[in-house]
Amino acid sequence: MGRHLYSLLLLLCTPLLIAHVVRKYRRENQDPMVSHRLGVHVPDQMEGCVWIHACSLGEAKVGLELARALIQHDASLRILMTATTPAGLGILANSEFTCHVFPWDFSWIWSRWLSKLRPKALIVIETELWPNLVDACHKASVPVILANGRLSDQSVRGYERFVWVSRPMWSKVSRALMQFDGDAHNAHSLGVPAHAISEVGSIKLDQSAPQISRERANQITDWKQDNVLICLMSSHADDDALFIDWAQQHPDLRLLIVPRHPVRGLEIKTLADEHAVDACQVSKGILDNAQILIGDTFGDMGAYLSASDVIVIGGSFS
Amino acid sequence: MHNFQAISVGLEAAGALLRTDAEHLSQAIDEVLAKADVMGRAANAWVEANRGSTELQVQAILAQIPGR
Repeated sequence: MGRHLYSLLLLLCTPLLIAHVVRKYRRENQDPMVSHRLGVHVPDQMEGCVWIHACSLGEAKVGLELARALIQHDASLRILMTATTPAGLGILANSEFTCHVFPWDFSWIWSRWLSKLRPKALIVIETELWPNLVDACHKASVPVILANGRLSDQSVRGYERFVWVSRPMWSKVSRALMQFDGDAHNAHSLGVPAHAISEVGSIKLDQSAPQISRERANQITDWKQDNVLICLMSSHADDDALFIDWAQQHPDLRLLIVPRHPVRGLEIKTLADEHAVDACQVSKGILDNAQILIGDTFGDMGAYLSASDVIVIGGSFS
Repeated sequence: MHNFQAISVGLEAAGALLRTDAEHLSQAIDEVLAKADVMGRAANAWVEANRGSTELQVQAILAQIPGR
């Protein structure tokens, strides 16, 4: 009953969903791929695949690591990978695996997908489970495995607000491979049977450190000179204001702001201008006299980290 | 820290991460600068001690795939 109510609400919200993704992704100069999200297209020639779903960039990297390790153990496996965001899809598209946009959670889409794909298993990376998808897999006897699972207390509170639809979903998970003790405890509290839960650590800790672009790292080192460089990593709008204000009070320090979404580079530059603090965007060239550098480029994480003296993780101050 | 709750707890317990608030930001940065080497070594040691998850997960997944 709860899932049907959820499906009805999802259907009623579809026009809003379409408007949201079109506006969001067009603003980021990305293709919103609405027809894919509405399930018009089903991956071809992937019958009997192992399907790995990763929401966005971080999960996609974990998914690729896992897919490659699975292939090393069993070269006969055929892997289909899906992602939701353009960043996630971008990294999957450049891999050796077939990839596809993850559609919205409508039952009729999953019945088409599952009847055509007949997957051996669905592996969901970290956290993104959907009620209709899990139910469809359960009915089709497709095991649903949560890999590298993480569930913060905040996520649990969110799921508990919709317990009428979330508990039946979690109870149908075949295997929950949770990162740490707290994640495993939270999975059980949401309804995953105890025998299906294992604590296995995080694949992220097996990943190699990001590659360092020497050219970019040297540019940043030249810019910071002998000053201490504080890096605000994965910043959100609230963090930017706090740190620009802080930089203004510490003109002897240099600040590197790396926004969670690089598209916000200009927004941060404007904010710094309003505070009368010299700032520049890496994407537009590094200026020697800038006190704040805005790291709004892709692929330079290694350079940003290696040149910094202190890293502050954004999104953690509110 | 919502996305990294467990990892941040582990790093903090290992002495590789300092938790602060906006009010004490300057003090925290001074503290990190003063013991950056120690914190860096603690972070490395914690990461090394927690490697090996991929293999554990692969084995668990393969056991779930029918017909293997």
